Amino acid sequence: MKRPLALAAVHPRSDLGDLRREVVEFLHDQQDQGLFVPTVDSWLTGWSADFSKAVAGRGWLGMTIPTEHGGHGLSYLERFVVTEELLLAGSPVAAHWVADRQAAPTILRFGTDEQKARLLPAIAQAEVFFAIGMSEPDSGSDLASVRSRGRRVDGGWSVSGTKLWTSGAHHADLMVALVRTSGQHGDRQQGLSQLMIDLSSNGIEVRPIIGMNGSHHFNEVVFDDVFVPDSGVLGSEGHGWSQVTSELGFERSGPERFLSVAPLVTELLKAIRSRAVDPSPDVGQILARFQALHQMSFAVAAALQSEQEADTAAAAVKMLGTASEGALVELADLLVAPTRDGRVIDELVDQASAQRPGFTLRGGTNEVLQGVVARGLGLR
Amino acid sequence: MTKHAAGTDAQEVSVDPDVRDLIETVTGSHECAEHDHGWWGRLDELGLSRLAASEDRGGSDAGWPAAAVLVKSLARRACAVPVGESDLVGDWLLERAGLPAAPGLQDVWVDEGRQDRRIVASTVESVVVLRCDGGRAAIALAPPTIVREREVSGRWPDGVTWSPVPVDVARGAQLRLALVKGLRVVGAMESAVDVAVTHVTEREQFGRPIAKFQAVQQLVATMAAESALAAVAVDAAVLEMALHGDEMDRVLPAVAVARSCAGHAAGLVARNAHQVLGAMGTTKEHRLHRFTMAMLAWRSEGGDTRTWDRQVLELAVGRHQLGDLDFNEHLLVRHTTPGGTS
Repeated sequence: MKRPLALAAVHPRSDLGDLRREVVEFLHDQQDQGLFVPTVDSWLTGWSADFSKAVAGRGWLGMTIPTEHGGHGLSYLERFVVTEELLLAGSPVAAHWVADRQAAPTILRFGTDEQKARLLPAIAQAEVFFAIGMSEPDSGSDLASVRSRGRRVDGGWSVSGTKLWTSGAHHADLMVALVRTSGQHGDRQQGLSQLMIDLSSNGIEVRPIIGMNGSHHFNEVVFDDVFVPDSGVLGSEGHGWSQVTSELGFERSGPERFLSVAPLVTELLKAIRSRAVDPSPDVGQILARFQALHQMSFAVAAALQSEQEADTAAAAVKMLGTASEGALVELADLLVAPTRDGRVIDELVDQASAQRPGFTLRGGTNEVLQGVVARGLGLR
Repeated sequence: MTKHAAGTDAQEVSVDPDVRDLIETVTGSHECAEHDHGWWGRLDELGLSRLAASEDRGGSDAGWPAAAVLVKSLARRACAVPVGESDLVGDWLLERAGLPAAPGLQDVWVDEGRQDRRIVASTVESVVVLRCDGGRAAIALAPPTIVREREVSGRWPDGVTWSPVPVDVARGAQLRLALVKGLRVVGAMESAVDVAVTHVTEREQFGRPIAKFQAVQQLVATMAAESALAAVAVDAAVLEMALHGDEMDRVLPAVAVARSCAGHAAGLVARNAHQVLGAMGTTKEHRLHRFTMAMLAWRSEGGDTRTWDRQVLELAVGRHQLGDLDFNEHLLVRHTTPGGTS
């Protein structure tokens, strides 16, 4: 009987608690100086180059990049607790998010020496920001059907196509785009490459996508014969798919998959404390659930750190976590509604309600994740 | 030398692989008959009946992690024999009351004045009863016949010897009992998931295993994930008990979180398991009900789910940390919005 979800809880070393306290102190300090206001979904919506630089200054970007590449040579568990505290405070981590979380590990693993030297120290210092180009108008869950095309030219590639839902593309320096460089549409996972595209290049048009609450985080990015030099190819030409899937375990199980609404949780506790809102036991249930999600997520991180396979468990964490984020928003809305009065909590509920549909859609829908878990259990 | 991930205390709470193997081999594919005292006798012969009790009380002093493996393993077999209760709670209470170890197997009952559970008299030698009354607590070691009198009449007969215990000992015992029940729920859920997975991959309808239908995959994936989530929470509480068992401010939140998660998961797992098993899973003959009915009964022993939910909330509202994740630390927001303050 396959039991890919059997995870032992992991007890953190005490120095991880010390690290948490350092981050909390930093965040209190930043808030005292009025440098940020907690927001829901801050890893998507909170773009602040200054804040990212401050975080970098404390050595909390590029934590898992080896020191010889300009990073801090620390473990995934240390990175994990720092990330949790930054998200708990709803702090504006969006600018460095993709660079630190996805681009850096990929460059470290598949990049050339030149790329590592050029980009890894810069990521660790919050000097270069990335966006991810994967989805397209005709390719959402079915990512292997992407149509963006790289045509071979002298010294590089000429890229044409459209990427959709690229968050932060209107701010970022580089985009890591999944592009077909050989074969044809229909070859699916074969012949796809990851190209690092300079977003200041000629031929790029970034069109904002306005969210239903009027906010702008996502973009449609149109490439019209954009030149990408060979030095922009990340890893091996044609092997982009396996590169993308190699990091899924980490990406799926991270604390952002259950802490997107953390500031709302904190505010809800305050409201219950002050009796502005009923002390419903449902809140206790969901608080317990968040602790369990933390424990499961941490256990997955520990497994991945020890190079144990944990992809099914990671998918389960994301599936449960994002649904719980949505459940918290729903519960908070029901609890605050009788006494709505333009309070901070009301504002956070509104923010969260508009962001909520995205929780279970982004980075692999919950329906797809259920299929991943089912496959891991041997059902398909 | 086992490889431990940087940042963990894995070594301090790992279970001796030989002990783990012995437990798994012995419990094997045994499925308990309802009142299986003979099964306890076998465990006793093999030195597994008192894993956590100290050596001078006839135990192995192997600690919570090892005892937890046994409790879960027995629960996976739907075994109702209270080995964990006896070892981790009953004997622990007797010790703290200054009483010697009792012979044989004990069940543990917290008498809150209600008839919330029938003690299965034929499986145990005696029952450790805990009563709390206002600011005082006391225990008694009662034979099953006396317990039966209490069940029938609603009162304890004269002649029962009550030994006082400090209130914090009583609270500690209740947490230990709650965690044992949580481990049972997790074990039963694991078996229910196994039964469901096996069934959907073997049962064919419309020319294919029903596992091929997405609706069925969704039910099974969800129950497996929820079961795993609860299992990690219970496991984390076992770690807290093993490493910080004397610190109420650590074990209470951990157990409350674990019991809340396990209780809610049990409801979902039982429901989904029966849904994918279809009609045959509802019969006495089929083994599924032994796991699903057990998890639903056990989730309300040693405290019920809703009460644990409230306990979690009370701790959080009181600014107690529930675990590593602390929602209380943040938000010094100086928001002032029209019509209100933060």
